[in-house]
Amino acid sequence: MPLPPRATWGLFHLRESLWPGLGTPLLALGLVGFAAPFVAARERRMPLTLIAIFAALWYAVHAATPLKPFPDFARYMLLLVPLLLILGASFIYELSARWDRRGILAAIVLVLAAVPALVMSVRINSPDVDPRGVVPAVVEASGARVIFDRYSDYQRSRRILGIQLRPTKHLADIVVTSNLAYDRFALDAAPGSMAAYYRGLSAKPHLDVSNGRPTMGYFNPVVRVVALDGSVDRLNKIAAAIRTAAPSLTVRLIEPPPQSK
Amino acid sequence: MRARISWATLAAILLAAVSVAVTLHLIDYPLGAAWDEFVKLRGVSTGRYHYYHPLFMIDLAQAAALVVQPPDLGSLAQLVRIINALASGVMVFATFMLARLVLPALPSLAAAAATAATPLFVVHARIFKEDIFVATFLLLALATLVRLLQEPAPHRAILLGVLIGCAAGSKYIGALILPFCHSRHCPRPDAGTGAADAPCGDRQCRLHRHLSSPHAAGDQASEPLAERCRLRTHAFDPWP
Repeated sequence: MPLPPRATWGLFHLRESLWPGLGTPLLALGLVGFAAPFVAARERRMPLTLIAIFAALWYAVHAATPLKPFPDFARYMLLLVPLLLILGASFIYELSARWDRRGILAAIVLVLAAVPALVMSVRINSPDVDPRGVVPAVVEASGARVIFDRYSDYQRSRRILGIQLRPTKHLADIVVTSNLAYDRFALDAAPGSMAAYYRGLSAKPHLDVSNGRPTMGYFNPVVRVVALDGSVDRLNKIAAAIRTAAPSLTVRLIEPPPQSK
Repeated sequence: MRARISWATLAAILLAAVSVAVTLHLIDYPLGAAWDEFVKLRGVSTGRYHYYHPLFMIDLAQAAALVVQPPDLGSLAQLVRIINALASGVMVFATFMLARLVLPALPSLAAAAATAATPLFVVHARIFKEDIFVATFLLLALATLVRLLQEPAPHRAILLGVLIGCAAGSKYIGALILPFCHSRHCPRPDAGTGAADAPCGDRQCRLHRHLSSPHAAGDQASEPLAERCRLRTHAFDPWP
């Protein structure tokens, strides 16, 4: 889905890629680091300016392009990780230029700021039960008519629902999707849009199945099992089967409140 | 005379190796976790690749597959993920190299370590995508460009061209660095020949450049020389 810069004020990657990808302390340090060329000693201004301008240009180009290919749009900001950290460390280094041990100070600040990022990396990347590996088999075994969205399992033939196919209760009892698919449309408010379609799915009773770890890239998705026919009983049976198959997964039944007339 | 490798460089290599080892521990996830992994694997296995990106990564994987001869698609996926993990190790080291141009050893190591610790890096070190390649080559290209601007030399210019070629060959956006190579700060052919706006070739100034390098960044003794070199080195200084 194209996301023009005006829809996100150019802050999309800052908010959705760099913030979760670096953590607050490192991102703050990196942003402050853009001031490093202004406080740097003369002999280091040129390289720092080059790095800062290139980093800003890289961000601007990716912010300007309307294509933000979900779910792993954050990969476009990968290059900015080292550049921001170098700028941030340089800023501290140059700012404390009158101290003898400024290099040590810069290293300590950077390492301390990186601790939350390391913790988040461990949380995201530690091996755990994969909902995409468990839920589809359980749902298929329930005997219901199922349609799978892309990224809800590992079949290569899946298409993104809403583009080629918008299943209704006449076609299937259950739709299985995941936040790797539906999150991409969260910013699209147009009626009849993909976002509206997925909002419609979320308005039906559904299960959210997660391993409790943060989603990033293609890892740790929240798999959503939507009862198109509104059958909460069937969802309860599926939830029980998932809990039996993988006790460590978190299964939440979400029943939307009845619509007032 | 044998070139000495500093303790910091050894530490950076060790850090990169640890990063690769951790990544290798994390690449055993199901085939097709990233949907386009199938597309890329088909490109590697059949040579038919009609996707959005240029071919460096695919060609590299094909060369590795030619040597290793993986028996099935799962093994091929493991192989290409290993290549990606190795590229991530190079990226950690490239971060250190670029940082070393503006920072002393310890914060440079810290920058490389912090990079290796971020979720954005760790996640993408595991996935077979072009981004880790283009980021690595661009980091190396930036470092080479800085060195070229500081001390022009034909081998640096050639290396810069190769690295930019590899970056753009990994992903078209890698060519974004090209305008920087055509900026007014590019070294002129007569650089170092004593022209008014050429880099300072004076022996004392070369000494100053050595002293003012990150190795001796805290050395107060270089300040008078810095002042003496200030006007002579303005051609490399982007500020007016």
